Formats: sequence, structure tokens, C-alpha cells
Amino acid sequence: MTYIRPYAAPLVVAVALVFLTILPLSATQADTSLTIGTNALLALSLGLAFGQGGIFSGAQAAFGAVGGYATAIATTTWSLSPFVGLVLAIVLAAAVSWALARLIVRLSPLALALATIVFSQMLTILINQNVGLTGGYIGIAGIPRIPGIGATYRAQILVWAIVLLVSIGYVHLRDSIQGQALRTIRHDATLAQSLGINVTARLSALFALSGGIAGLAGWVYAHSRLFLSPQSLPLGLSIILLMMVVVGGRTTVLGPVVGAVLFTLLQDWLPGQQLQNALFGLIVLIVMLAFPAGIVATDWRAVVRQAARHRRPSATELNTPTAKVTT
Amino acid sequence: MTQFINFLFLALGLGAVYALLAIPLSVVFSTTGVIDVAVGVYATVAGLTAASVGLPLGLVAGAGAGMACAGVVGGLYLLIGSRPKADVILLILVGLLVLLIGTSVGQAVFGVDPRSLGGLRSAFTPGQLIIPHFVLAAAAVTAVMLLAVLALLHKTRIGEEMRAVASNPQAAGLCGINVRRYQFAAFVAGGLLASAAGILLGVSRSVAYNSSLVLTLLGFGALIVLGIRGPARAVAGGLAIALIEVLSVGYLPAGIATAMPLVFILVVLASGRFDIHASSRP
Repeated sequence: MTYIRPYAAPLVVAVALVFLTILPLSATQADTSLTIGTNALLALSLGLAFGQGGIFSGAQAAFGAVGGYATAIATTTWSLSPFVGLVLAIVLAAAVSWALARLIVRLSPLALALATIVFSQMLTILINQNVGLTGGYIGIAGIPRIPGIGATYRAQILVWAIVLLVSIGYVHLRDSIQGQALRTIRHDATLAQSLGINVTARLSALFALSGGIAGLAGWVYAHSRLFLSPQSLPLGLSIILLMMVVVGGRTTVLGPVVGAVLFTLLQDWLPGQQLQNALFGLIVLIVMLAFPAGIVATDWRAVVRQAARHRRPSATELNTPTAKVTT
Repeated sequence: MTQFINFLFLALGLGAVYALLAIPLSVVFSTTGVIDVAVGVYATVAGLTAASVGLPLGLVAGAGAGMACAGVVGGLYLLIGSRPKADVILLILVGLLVLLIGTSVGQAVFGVDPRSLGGLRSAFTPGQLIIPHFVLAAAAVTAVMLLAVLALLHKTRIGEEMRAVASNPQAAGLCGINVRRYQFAAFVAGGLLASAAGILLGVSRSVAYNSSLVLTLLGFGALIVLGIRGPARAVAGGLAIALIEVLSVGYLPAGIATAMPLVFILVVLASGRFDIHASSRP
């Protein structure tokens, strides 16, 4: 049991993957599953940076866009194979996030958060303005499918398989000596430095890993949606990813995935096209304030006990003569 | 040369608008320790409301709407900030959520098309120079607002108490100052300035439901480029950011020109010289 326990999160993802493979999903359901999977991968990459390193990133979708555009340009303009695109997507997104991290990772949380948002907005402008390379507002259409992964149904299996692999890798990293170092940095960067941990290098490496995974998600997105524009992976998605991670549980492996499932389904179910984000924001705000540790990390038994203690005895209980006072 | 001077005038007008966003950020940050990411929402709401209502009455309606938003959001920040486990990150997340909600509501109420207020599209043309009337209006409004804020902070009893709250909220509270009231007032007063920025933008260019984030980032840039040291520096910072924007759009290739102000803000942040430490908390 002690060997299985750390792998609880990958196990849950594996069970989900089995069900998604054997169940006869309709086209709509497969599409939803694909969206959830892509979001889960992005959220997991953010959870890695935010939960393990304490790096608040408002640019996660932007790293996804870097990967997506890398592969989109490589496969459409240069007619390269999607697998070359895969390498480009991961490497470029990792390089960009590493460079950004080197610059800003030692800033205070507030400055770091705003710097990532500024970066994200900057990237959006650059994508919009460099029409020759990125297609500007119109975007890039006609991105080829991955060979062997044809329609949405196979693509959603692929993305969940990647989520499974990444979550296993996440568990390994968290429980390794590297993970210990990151935990020390998260709690006290000065202490970590005094122990000989190179804080900037460690955090930059973590952020590069996180960016690389986001780039991978961007690759999946580009080759399953076959179209990419600045509105595909916008800053708004980065904000929603942050909510997924925080509401799901930022220090857990399963939290970001649970957040991605809940939020994507919620967005599908909420009525109203334009007001949707407003309703959504309000719900998130309430959940975030009620359970600051996140859904997965909250001790639900304690919550239930607390609720039971605060519950007032009902009128019938009080009036029944046989009701005894128990402690 | 004439073109360059014309650019300078344009930068003065834009810088005045950015300054109107930076002053509230500065005042709110020093009194509550919060960087109010939602400040662009107040400006956008005010600009859109004013443009929908029409000119004479729109000014009042816009300012009212902007201040109402600021009041609601400020109240939310104070409510959350008083919780024992609240940290800077949570408050930033709340600000981002407000931005998301504001954009969504703005789109539902005002539609996707940008709106503008007619009025100040003309310009003085002494010689070859072109000085849009808007530039003069913006500069005048910002100058008056800045002087009013400085006078309020340094010449009145209210300002003295406000500065006490900013430098040490606990001690101020012990002295019998109602700390929360001042923190709330900082948000609402900031809302007025941000509304002025939104309305001025509506007069000179146009405002759309999705302008909020860009406005917040430019105001934030104006706040930090010269260091967070009160409203006067924020105004100078606004002028600096606008100068960079105008000159890069004028002289750099289109692919990178509009991103330059953000690049500059990122470089200033990365230099770490003006790192933001939340000194006091609500």
C-alpha cells in the first residue's frame, strides 16, 4: 500500500484513460474529452511550476501558444512532419520559459505575477502583428493531423495518455531529491541558498520543464484542432488555468486535473454566451474563498465534522422527550 | 524635427491618460498593499458608459459607473484581505477574476464594437505643428487631478490620516483612525481618476470591452518605471511609457512597435531595481 499511495493521482488518470478508451463516446463527448485533456495538461504544467516551485505564472497558455505556433508554422509553411513539430514545440516553449524565468524568478511574488502577465500580453501582440509568420488575427489553418492519430476520438486518447505520463513524471520529481530542494526553496529561498542550492538555476529549470509541457499541450492542440489563432490560447485561458490549479489544489498532482475537468464541464454547462465568464468567475471566486487549499487538498472529513458540530439541533429533536444530551 | 515634436505632444496626451491609471494604483498600493489589477476595468466601464449616454451627462454617468465598480471591487479586496490566510497571490487572483468578469459583463452590456465620444477630434495647428485639443484636455485634467491628490495628501487633516494608514495601518488603528474607511476611500477615489482616464480615451480614440487588461498593464508600467514613490513619480512614469509607445510606433517596424512599452516594462521589472514588496496589508 505504501508503494501505491504516491501514485494515487496517476492511477486515477489511468482508470479514466481506460474508460475513455473502451467506452463508445459520441463525437461531442470525444470533443469535450479532448478539450478537458488539453486543459488538464496545461493545468498540470502550471501546477508543477506553481505548486512545486511557487512560481505564479500568468503565461501558461502563452507557452502553449509558443509550442502550437512552432509546430503550426513548421508543418504548414515549411511542410515538415508533425513529429519534427513536436520537438520544435517542446524545445522552443521550454527555451522561452527558461529565458523568462532567468530574468524574473527571483522577484517578489507580486512582481513575478505581473511580469508573467506582461510577457503573455507582449507575446499576443507579437503574434498579432507579425502577420507574415503567424497569420495575425486570422491565424493558421490547415494544420495537418498527426499520422496514425486521425480523428478526435484517437486524439483524446493520446492527450490523456500524455497526461498520465506527465503525472507519473510529476510524482517522481516531487518525491525525488530535486523535489526536496524545490520544497525547501518554496518555504524559504534564503535558507535554500545557504544550503548550497542554486535557487535561480533550479527554479528556471523547473519553469523550463513546465513550459515544455505546456508547449507539448500546444502541439496536441494545434494538431487536433487543425487551426490556431491568437484567440485559441489567450491570456484569459491562462487566468482560467490558474483558477483550475488553485481550486483543484495547487500542491497536489491530481488537483490541476480535477480542476480542468470541473472547469471545462462547468463552462460547457453554464448558460449564456457573453455572460458565461462572469457567472463562471463568480462561482470560482466563491469556491476559492471557501476552500483555499483546493478541492483535492481539503480535509473533507474535517469539513463534515465541523459542519455537523455547527449544525443546530432541529426543532423535533429538541422537543422529543427521549432526546438525550450527548457529548 | 516637426514630426518629432508632434510625437512629443501625442505622448503628452497619452502619458496623461496612463498617469490617471497609475495614480490610483499608487494610492491604493500605499494604503492597502494591493496592486489593483482591476483598475483597467473601472476605466473601461466609465469610458463605455460615457460613450453610451452621450457627452454632457455621460461624464457624470461614466464617473459614477467607474467609481461604483471601484467601490464594489475595493470592498471585495478588503473583505478577502482581512482573512487570516489571505496572501498576495490570492489578491492578485481575485483581481484577475474581476478582470475576467468585467470583460464578460462589458461584452454583454456594451457589445463587441469599440465606442467613442465625439467632441475633441480637432487640433491647433500653429505653423507645421499639430496639437490635438485632446492633448491639452488630458494634460489639464491630469495636472488638476495630480495637484488635487497631492494637496489632499499633504495639506489636509484627511490626507495626514491617510498617510498614517499608509505607513503603519496598525499604529494608525491604535490612534483611533478608521483604517478600513480610508482604505475603502482610496479605492473609490482611485475609481474616479481611472474613470477620467477611460473617458479621456473615449474622447480621443475609442474604448472596447476588452481594453481593461492593456490599460491595467500600461498603468502598472507607469507606476513602476520610476519606482513606486507616490503620485508625482507615477505621472512621470506615465509620460515615459507613452513616449516609448509613440516613438516606437513612429519609428520602429510594425511587427514589434506596439509591443515595445510592454518589453520596456518587463525589462524594468526584470532589473529588480523596483521590486514590489507589499509593505502593509488590508
